[in-house]
Amino acid sequence: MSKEFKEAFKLSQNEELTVKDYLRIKELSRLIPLSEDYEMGWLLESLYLKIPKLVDKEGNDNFLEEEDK
Amino acid sequence: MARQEFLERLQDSHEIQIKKTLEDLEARIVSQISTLTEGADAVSTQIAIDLRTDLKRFIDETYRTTADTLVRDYDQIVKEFMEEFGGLDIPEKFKSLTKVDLLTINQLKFQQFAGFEDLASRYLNEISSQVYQNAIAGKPFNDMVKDLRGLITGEVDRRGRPMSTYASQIAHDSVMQFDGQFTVYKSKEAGLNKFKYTGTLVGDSRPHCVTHLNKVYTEEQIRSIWQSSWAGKSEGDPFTVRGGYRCRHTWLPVADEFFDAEEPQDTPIQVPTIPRQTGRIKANQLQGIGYTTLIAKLDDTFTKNANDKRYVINPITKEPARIFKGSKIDDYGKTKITKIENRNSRRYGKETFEYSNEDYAAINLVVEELNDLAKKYNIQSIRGIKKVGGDRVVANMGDGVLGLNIKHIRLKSERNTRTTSKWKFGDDKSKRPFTVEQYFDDPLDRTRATLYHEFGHHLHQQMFVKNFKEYRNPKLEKDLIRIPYFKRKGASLYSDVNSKEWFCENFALFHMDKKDLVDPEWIKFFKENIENVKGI
Repeated sequence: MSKEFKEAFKLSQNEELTVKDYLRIKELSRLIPLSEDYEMGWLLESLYLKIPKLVDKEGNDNFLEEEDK
Repeated sequence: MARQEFLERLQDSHEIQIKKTLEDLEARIVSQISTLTEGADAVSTQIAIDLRTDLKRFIDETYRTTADTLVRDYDQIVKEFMEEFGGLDIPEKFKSLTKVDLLTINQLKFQQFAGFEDLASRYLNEISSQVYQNAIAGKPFNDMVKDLRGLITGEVDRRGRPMSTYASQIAHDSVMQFDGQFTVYKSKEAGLNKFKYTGTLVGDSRPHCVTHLNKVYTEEQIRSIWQSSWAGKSEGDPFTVRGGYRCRHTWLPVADEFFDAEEPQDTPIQVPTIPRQTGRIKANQLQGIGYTTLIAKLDDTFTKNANDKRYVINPITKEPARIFKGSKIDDYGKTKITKIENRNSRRYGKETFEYSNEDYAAINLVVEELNDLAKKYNIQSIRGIKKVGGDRVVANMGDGVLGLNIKHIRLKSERNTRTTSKWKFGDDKSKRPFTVEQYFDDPLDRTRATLYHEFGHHLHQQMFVKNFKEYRNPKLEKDLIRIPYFKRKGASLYSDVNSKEWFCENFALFHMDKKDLVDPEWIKFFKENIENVKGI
């Protein structure tokens, strides 16, 4: 497991994310080796589920990357 | 983008803009009152009188300015209409805009702007009057602010509907009214007399709209049909009011040739009957089906599922609730996957993925199994499938819509070449597979495991949810989060991610006869919070 993937995994373990966590996971998803892309696809699944609460908390979705809007 | 989809997006965008501008208006008024009272606990009558000028200015600078911007956006409606209109078999001269058309467009815009104006005048009076009455009564500043918030954005409960509710309805309906008026004007100009009632069905679509959707009528027939009464009907021209308030349906002009060739009337769409393959079917037992068959079958299933009254309605928009990003109301009742996807990314270069007939059979079969699970747990079945993959997500679930990434959710995808795990409790935890589908040899079982996992999300998102407030914070999710991390065990690394993934990974194993790999703590939770509650 690469250190980038480990970091993304650890951040994903937060039940409630912050915008900073969200942006970091997205960034890490592009830095991990190709061999971990499938597993990253699962962490992105978990991230998707957390977006509504994050938007609620922030009051807007301006922070979201285009592909998540 | 199809015209219908464009109109829906425009309505949504206009509603958001008008709501935001009213929040701004409210903030400005409260701030101004606060400044004028200079810390006093109540507003004097003189301040209340003087404030009227400020109120008018604030309304001009916020609400009226936004309304003007929205109406200017109607040029995009014209553009979308003309693109679609240009594809009809009509003389070329009607396919472009004339000077008279431009004058008509301006006139129609003016009419719609008048609707916004009327509301501004009405609420200028109401807000002024509210401030004045409060001043006379010597109402404390904080109470006055509450009253104003109730009146403008409705954030504080009060009797009667706030300005925001009316304004967002006007923003929504004006888009469709303008579209309807321009459609009928331009169609008549081109001599077209037949129109198709188009759009999508959602959970609370009016029966009137359901009956007439995708039917083609002459103008005379439309005017006759629209004389009847139905719940939610709005009085006015059928081309403008369509099904009624907040109706998302629209009229599409139909040229005769097109009508005759491709729109045979009164021929119901035949929903294919696909014999159910019962039992835990394996991939090599699948009987392939075609793409068209799958779409027709699932669209029918999802349309019915989307009408399930257990799906919560958003009390503000009066539409089916939608909180997940990337999810659209248009996804409800639909199967939005394509046969082939060509992708081009910096990371992977060009890639092409294509479903096989066996993949379609697999999707159909597992959706039937998910419907069975929904029945078993007495919750609404999923109401749509959409394609995902822009961000490489494997699959996802939200608002009752299942997202599938064609790259991974195929019988012959790369993930299905991975070795099957023999891990069991007691073995080294670090040797667990990443996700539970790796406990299965068969490619269909791997698809099944992933979709059952997604159904687990559907369950914790929808079960016990009775209203929009609960929809945003479901009971099961609150219960899950209370189980401490150290108490949760899972047979996959992914189940360590958080309580929801722990729930879903175990849910898949539990329902796929791998109970030896299910966390006993999960079984306890499931029995206490779901099975026993539901009496299963």
